[in-house]
Amino acid sequence: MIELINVSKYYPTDFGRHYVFRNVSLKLPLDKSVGVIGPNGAGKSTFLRLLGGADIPSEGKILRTGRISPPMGLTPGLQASLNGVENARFAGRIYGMDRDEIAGLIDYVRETANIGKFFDMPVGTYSAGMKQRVAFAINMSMTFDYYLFDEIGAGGDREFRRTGKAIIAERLKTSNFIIASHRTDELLDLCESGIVIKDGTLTFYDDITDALAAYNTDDDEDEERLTKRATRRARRSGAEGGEAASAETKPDTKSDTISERKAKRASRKVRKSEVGESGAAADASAAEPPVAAAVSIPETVEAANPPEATSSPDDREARRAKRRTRMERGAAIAPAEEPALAAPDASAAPPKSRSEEAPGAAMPRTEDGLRAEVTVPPPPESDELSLDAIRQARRARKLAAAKAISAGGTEATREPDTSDTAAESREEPKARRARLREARLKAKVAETGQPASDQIESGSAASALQSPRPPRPRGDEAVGAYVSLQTPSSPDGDRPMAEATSPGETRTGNGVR
Amino acid sequence: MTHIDGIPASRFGRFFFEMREGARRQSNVIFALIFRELKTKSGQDSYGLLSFVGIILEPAVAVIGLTLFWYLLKREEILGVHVALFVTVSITGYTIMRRSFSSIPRSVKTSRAFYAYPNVKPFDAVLARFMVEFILTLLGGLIVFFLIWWFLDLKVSLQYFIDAMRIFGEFVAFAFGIALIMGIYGTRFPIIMTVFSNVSRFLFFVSAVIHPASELPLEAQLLIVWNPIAHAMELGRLYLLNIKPFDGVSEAYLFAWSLGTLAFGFVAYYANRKKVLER
Repeated sequence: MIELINVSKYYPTDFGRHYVFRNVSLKLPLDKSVGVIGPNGAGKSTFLRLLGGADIPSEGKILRTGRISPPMGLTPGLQASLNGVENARFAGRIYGMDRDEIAGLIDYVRETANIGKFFDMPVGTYSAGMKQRVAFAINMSMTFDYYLFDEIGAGGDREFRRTGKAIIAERLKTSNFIIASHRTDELLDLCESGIVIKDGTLTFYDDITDALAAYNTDDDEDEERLTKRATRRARRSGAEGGEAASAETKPDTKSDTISERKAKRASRKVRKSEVGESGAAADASAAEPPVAAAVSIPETVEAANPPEATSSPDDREARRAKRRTRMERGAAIAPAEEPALAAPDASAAPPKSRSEEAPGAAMPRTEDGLRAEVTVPPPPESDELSLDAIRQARRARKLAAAKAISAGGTEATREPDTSDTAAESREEPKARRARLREARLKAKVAETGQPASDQIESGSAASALQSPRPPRPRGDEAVGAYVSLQTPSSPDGDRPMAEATSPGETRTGNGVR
Repeated sequence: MTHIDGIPASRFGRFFFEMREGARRQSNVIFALIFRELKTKSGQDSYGLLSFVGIILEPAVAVIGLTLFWYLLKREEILGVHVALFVTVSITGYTIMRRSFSSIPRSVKTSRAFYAYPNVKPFDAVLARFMVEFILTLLGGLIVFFLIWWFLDLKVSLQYFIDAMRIFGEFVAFAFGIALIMGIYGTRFPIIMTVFSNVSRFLFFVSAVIHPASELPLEAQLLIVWNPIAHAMELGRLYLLNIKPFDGVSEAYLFAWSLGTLAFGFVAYYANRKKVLER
């Protein structure tokens, strides 16, 4: 039996005495296990330390009958400089065991703690869980009338909990437990009575369920209060913004629970995979640019653009024809000319899929279904030109290459055959851009009649490196701007560097005269 | 915490039963703590064994150093006693006192993990370490006495052995009282531990350890007469080496200090035990 008579416990603080309990008188029965419940900092651990005799009450006294274990908690009584064996031996010696008993105790602790070679290493090298295992095993190796536990399985893994549970179940036949815990299932399993510690008061309940109910009622009240406060806030914000009615339909990402977020993520994945498949089909038909496959249309967008707003097939055909005409002209599609997809205008219906949109007006959307602001790239930089434009450029390039060959250029200055559109699409965007730039240059050359070798920009130095040195222009043959294909090493590496010279400038050595 | 079975019914019987049970528990704890102290000193850490040997050899090293010091001053005898023997008697006692100011009080802090066991109290930690250090220092002193006898054929007089042991007992009680006070207040206020462990080094020069107080000038004797350690040194040399002490020496003064220190130590422990546990 443990009896507390007018026990008070306080700690001196900078703000005066902090009372954990005040004038507590209590008699704990010898035949019942007791669960100690309370919020963090209420004094559960202090209460256990007082019961175990590891701490002394500030006022009053505690009478104990029977053997009471040391309170085992998150800070077990193990000396860091000693190893597990020596700590176990120490505990055995404290309780007056003889040599044989201590040997048996060490074997039991080694087996129960099950921490392998660490048992013979200093406790200072243990993890928190390992310390708890050893402390638990040491406690359980001795027989007590009361076992005191503070957060019984807080630091242990699943295996340790299982082992501990089995040992505790065995000990419950002969001993009782006083357990401070936050786990309801643990308390219901092991305890018959309960103590609730809160706000310096300590209430004993003969039935653990009553104690839990009392404690949880307090919690419920707190929760209710919080819910009311949240509702009030929501109302206030709705009234301020005038959007109280739409609060339900608006997705509130902050208040999403984990399960809701998971569900959203899963649905997003499914949508992506669906669109990916359709995109692959579109690629196979090779009728649309690959960008169409990568964009999904979330449901929220559909909600923002109701079905009745979509245009009829005839309208779509008309729009497509209009767009084709524009492409044939070779003009880029200005965003202003395209009907705004985000505008909730019934007359300007959005396409069902991105494959129906004009390439220049590719408008990606964010995951929330909102439209992202897109800057349409300028036509010369864009690789999403119409087929006719590409054909025109290709024709010009061929012409330029033929002219360059006739003017003394080499094979290397010719453009590779770009008729294979599949191979073209596989190219790196940068390389493709460079090639298109060269094609444009050559088309310009074809227009102006100048040799292609003179028009190579410094940006295409890689292709220039591959090519043999062009014939040196002589005297008056050198017209316009010259590009010297002398490639001195750049300061930052072996990258060749082209130098431009003005007509009439005289250079010595390998330079242009 | 007592067993329900076997408790005597009468009041006296219960009183003696509880006393016996308490003594048994305390002896178990002190026994365990002594083993732990020995294990820690000779244990796994790299300085463990060295510190163990260091405690034993410290008196020997001090005796060799101080004997050489006297030899350099071309003095082999002090009041008719060989300097090695003179220094050995003083150094053994002084080493115990010095440890009471420094290493023994630290046991309160280093044994903190064991206070989770309700049987283990800070007092037990101080007592266990005091016993270990005392035994090791005494062992070191005895080794030096043996070596001096073996090589120099010098030995102490056992004519007043009982008186010598009485003085030694009083001195040990005084040292334990100091250790207890330092353990309590040094743990509560670490600055006290730092200050006094440094001040204790200065005591070496004002406690008549390496020279007899009677050889000091009268003005110095008037100051040194207040130092109880100097009284213990002089009385110890009187009973073991038959060296005449200085005029103001008094066993009663030493006894009063021992009793007073010990009593103050216990009172301080009782008054501060909760605060020491809480820290």
